[in-house]
Amino acid sequence: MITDFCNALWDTRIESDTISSDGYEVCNLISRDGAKKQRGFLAERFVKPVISILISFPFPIDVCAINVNPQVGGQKICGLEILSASLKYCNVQNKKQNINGDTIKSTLNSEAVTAKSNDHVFHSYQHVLNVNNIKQEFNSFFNQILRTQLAEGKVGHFLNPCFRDAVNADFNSRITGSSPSNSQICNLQQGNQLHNTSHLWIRITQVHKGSVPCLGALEVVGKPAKNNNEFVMNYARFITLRLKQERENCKGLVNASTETNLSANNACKSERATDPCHEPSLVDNVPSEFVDPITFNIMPLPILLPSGNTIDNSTLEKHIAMERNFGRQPCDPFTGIPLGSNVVPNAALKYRIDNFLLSADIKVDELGRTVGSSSDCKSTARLKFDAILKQDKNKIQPVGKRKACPINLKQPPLKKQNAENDGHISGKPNSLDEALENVLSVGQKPTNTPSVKASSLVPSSSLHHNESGPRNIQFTNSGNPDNEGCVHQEQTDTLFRLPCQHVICRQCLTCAVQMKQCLQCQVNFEKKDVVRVHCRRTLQIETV
Amino acid sequence: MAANETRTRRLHRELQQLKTNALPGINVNEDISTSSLETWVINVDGASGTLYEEEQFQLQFKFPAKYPFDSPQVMFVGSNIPIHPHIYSNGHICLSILTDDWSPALSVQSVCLSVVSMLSSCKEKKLPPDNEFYVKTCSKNPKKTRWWYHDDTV
Repeated sequence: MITDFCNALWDTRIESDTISSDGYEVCNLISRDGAKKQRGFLAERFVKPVISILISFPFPIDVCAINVNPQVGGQKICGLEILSASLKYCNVQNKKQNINGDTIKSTLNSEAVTAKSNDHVFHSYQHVLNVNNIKQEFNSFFNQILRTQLAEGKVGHFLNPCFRDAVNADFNSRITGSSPSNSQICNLQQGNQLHNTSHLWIRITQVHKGSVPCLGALEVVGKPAKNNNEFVMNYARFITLRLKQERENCKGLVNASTETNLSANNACKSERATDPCHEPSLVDNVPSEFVDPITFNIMPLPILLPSGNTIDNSTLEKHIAMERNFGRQPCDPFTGIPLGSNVVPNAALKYRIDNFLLSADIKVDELGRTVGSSSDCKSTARLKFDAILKQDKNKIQPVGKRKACPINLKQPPLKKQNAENDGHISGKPNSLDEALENVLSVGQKPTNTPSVKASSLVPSSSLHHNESGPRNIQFTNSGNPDNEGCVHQEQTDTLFRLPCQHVICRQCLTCAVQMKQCLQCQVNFEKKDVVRVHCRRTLQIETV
Repeated sequence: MAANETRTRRLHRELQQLKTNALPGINVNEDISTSSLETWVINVDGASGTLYEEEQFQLQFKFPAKYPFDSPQVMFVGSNIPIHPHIYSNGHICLSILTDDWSPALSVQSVCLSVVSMLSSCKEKKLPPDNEFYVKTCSKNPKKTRWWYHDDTV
């Protein structure tokens, strides 16, 4: 029946005499919530040692060992003092005659009831101690059992030499069980004081340079004292069993998921090698901030979006590829706002994820990893991203049946000028790229077409489709005063081209359809002749 | 296969979230949805105070292999298909987030909400003007239709 008494299920109480950082309250140490328990206790940053933590057990226990993890994140403590008190326990059976197994079960069913009914049953010591009165009037009840200097980076494992079955394989410590080489083992003094322990007083006396007092984890391993009455013993047996079940459930879950992991592995090993992000990992135990909100996988390379959300690089790449299918520029999946260049790898989060993966019991080798310092990964992600953007700018390819059409919307819209077109390029270019190059070279040689400046060149969006021949692209000088188009072009990506080659937005199209004629040139058109065009507003033709 | 894993993981999460943070009037039909992850049926109640009050509809979701990067196929099924200017009598819905404006940040829940909000903003129960023609000629998959979204007020 050896178990950890630092668990709220026992109705153990814990308090400290200082204020703690938000989310790092002292009750985390006994919390039943795994995430809270993992966080531990951290005092507010201005708190200096000495600080006291008082643990009071529901009934006297025999302490077998005390395990302490002296660090939370980068904060470390080194001086630790533990005192114990053995207050006289008032026999509960006198008060509660008719307590039997049923009441235990019913009290266990709901936490609230437990707390209430246990008030009468447990913690009924001769004095009511709290963290303030132990320093003065009840100081004499406490005996020092440990005073130690903790070595850096080691967890404390303090044994009671007087405990009969001190070495008990049954109990698996959460703190020290993982790596015995990393723990500092020493004996508790005055082991005889550790029978019938009702309270433990932990004093943090010294911290590492600049650190804040903290406790990463605390375990008080022991068993109920022998002279407890029958009810307490029954209760203790019940709780121990329950704790054991919970632990086994947890183990079972982990095993099950590793099994599915393995089977899935065999099924698609080849894919895995190329696409590491699709690992079915044990995401359930991972803090939600480390998990991609779109794919729910751990993020090997988190990228911070302008919207403030962080997603994985591979997710973003897939999203951009998908957007390209629709002929759109890369945009934030959460807001739909074009990304531009303000996409930054979240180096701080990556650091924390890596740390977490190293410390947590997660199969890291299955996950996609990036190596190198944070600055390295920043630059590679940047490069990648710039490459994507560049690709988008330079290479405008019609995807599927859709026609991607470059329009510089910074310029006022245009009117088709078939006959007297200054910027008309002689010869038929084979591709859009070629056409662009042509235009740029025209811009560089002003002698050829003096009235055309490259910066004012606008592809007229009149992609002529000669059924047989190559595409003919016309560029017009937008300086024409007749040029009136739809004023909303600047605001939208979705544009429509009428048979008369006017490009207008959806709103104007709705009006135009009702009137059945173009709003600019009053040419009649049929609804079926309207073609949707996609544009890239970022496309700029730059002069040299 | 890899894409399927992403989809499976994501759908599991979404199903979990739908159950834990259930919204009033949006319930997963668990018989159909849990048996196969690819097709879900969600019971949607018409919001109170609207034309569709006290009506029950069934929305069918089919998830492509590339979900969540590709949009799900969403349509009304069952006996009661709402009469609405943007919903065809075969259940197809004219809603931009279901094709062009889909984003992987959207979820089943948000799509359901959009549909409910579209229903709620309706002022007159009538079929789309080209309903008969469309229903005769359209493909079974609403995503194969090239929708032309024109009503920004919805």
